[in-house]
Amino acid sequence: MTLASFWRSARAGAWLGWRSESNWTDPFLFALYSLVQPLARLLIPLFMYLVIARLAGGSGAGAGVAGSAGGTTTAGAAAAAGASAAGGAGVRFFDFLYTGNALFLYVGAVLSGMSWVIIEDREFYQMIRYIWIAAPSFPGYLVGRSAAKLAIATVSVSMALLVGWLWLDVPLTIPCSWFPGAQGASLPALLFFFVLGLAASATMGLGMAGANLLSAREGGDRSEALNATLYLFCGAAFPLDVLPGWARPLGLLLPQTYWLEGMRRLLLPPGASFGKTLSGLDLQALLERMAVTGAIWAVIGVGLLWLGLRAARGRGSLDQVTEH
Amino acid sequence: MSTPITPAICVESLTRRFRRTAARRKAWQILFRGERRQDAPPSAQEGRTIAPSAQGCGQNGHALGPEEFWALAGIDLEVRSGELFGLLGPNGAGKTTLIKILATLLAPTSGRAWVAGYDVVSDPYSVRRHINMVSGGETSGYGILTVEENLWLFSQLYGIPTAVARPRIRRLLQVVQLEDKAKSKMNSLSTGQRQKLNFCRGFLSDPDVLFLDEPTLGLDITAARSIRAFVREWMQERPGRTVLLTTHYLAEAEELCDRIAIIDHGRILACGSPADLKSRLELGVELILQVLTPDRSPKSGVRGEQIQEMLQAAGRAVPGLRQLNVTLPDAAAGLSEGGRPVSVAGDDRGPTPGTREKGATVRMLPLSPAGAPIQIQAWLQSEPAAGEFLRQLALAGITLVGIEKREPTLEDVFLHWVGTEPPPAPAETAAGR
Repeated sequence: MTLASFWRSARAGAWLGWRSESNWTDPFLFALYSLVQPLARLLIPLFMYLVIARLAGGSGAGAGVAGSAGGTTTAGAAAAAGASAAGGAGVRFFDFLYTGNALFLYVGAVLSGMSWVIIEDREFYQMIRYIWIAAPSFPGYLVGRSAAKLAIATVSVSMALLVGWLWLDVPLTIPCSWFPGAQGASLPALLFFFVLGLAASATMGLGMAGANLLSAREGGDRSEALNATLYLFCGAAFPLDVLPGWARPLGLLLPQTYWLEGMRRLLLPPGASFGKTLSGLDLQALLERMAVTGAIWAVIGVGLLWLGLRAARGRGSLDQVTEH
Repeated sequence: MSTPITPAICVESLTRRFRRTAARRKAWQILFRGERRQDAPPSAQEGRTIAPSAQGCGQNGHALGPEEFWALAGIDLEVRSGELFGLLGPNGAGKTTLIKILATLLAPTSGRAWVAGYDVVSDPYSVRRHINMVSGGETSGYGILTVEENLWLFSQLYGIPTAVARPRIRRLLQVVQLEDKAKSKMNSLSTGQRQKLNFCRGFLSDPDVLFLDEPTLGLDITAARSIRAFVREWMQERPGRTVLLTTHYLAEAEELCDRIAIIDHGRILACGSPADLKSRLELGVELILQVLTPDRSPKSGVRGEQIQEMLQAAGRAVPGLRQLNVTLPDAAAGLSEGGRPVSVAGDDRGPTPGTREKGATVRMLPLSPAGAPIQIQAWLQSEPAAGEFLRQLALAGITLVGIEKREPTLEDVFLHWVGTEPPPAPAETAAGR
């Protein structure tokens, strides 16, 4: 399998994915759905946080600014943990939470997007056998198919960040310089971080796709479960410090943890790190750890896909229709 | 020195085991009840002859669990490059399983298979570069895409440049008479139209080896006919193109296939060209004769006994005569001679009223209009026997005014080996064959 065949499969898969994602309704409704659905998903936990923070003695959107220490709720504890390690440069815990949740939309899109392709092609369209025969690179095809979800997620994340910047006072500072500035932030660093983090999530998606090859339609639920687990442990909502002791190592094994931390530091002003566990790491250290954990998950993900394909061919479930 | 020709498909002792039910066995079931297994694939069904190619089946040493069965029980097969090879068998015989293994969709339990020279287990990627597949009666595309878009998508996966793909798509759509639906979404197509689209997708990549799994299932007469014509034309266009076809339509197999294998219970029971398979049946020769008696009388009141005597005399002189049915112009008579495989009896097509018994096998003969020639239906062991029978009739003074020779059909072959009626073809399609 060459890079050319990977690219060929990915390109065709991306085209099909885009048609599949965008072709079910008229463009206006599609655009509306693409914006409203992720925004709603993003705002639900944020409003929960605001309410809890207010009950814990904070003050609305500013509750996270080192002010809700002593709160007994998870959000309060998170804010407290954040307060103890925040750089104190005007970055609220709310900003941490908002950017984390917005960026995590990417993880969900890549992860579930890639694994859902198996269910969709096998159960709904019943085309997986022809794709298997035709595609010179099956992983390439899966990556391509999920690219459409990634594109839609890009619009959603951009809109979410824009809404946060315009109306919720999230102090976004996108580095426009080609050369490293404060905390080593630069546009190339941002792009590199962004792409590497997505690639790490994509390899996890490949692994989930491999697992879905061996399961019936409940495979879709499994992807959701993994997504929720990652959300809990990777610092999208809760800094690692507020997690139980046994859960922190799990968080440290996830490339998404370093990705979100790095992306926050690149997008927010200095001092955007909440929690002692990661605040001691500079951008390069985060990148290194993301690369290492990403490589481990890449091996696991690609291995799972390989095993899944092998086992599916062995069991005859590659093109099964479970009908339940 | 001639170069040996690599077979397009080569299969050696291929087996595939499946679980009978979809229910998964719980861990405790395996722990406490153990895995009761049955050694090796079953031998041939009782009373059924196994073709030489199937000998050696069941020697792979694999075992069956209590819920398992052999979908393929040791297949040996060789399909030559450039050949259109047919697989015939009843439902559940193992045809699709074999095709799935060859198309790398399924792994065999044991045995080996090569397609276009590549091992389907160890080098599936290389196999897939040389093959394509059309399965009948299934969803055949992405409903959200148009017919043209569906085909274009696959052309891109196969790496066909758009400039080449577009005219090829147009040509294929013309073949299946679907060009007016090119811009229609696939989910708006009828089942037959979807099948046509599926067919186009199969030929789009111009594969070296094409698997056609009931490709004309659900197609209308015209489309099925044009598809068969296209398959033949496609095969002739470039020598070396190979097709493995499974079908329930025996006429389709007979029309298209160079060789046919009859498969049942995961075994190849017989393999050869349609003519070869029919001749191996040893059904002999069936002659339908229109004759006139010496007095030139197919006239009212002709005596059946006279005719019977003449035919029996002729029959005695031909050892290879198996059976004789006579239809008289307006009289009914039929006698059988004890011990001889000769009976003078009525038409085989069904019972007729007014049967009268005399001797062994006597059946009422259906009446022909007065003045019509006498019809004789004779089954003979071989061609020489048929020639001898005709000579004896001439010696007896019987004048031959019409002769028709009937060959055994592929359906006879199928019934001989499989023992059950082939599934009925849908009326619309069968009518076209």
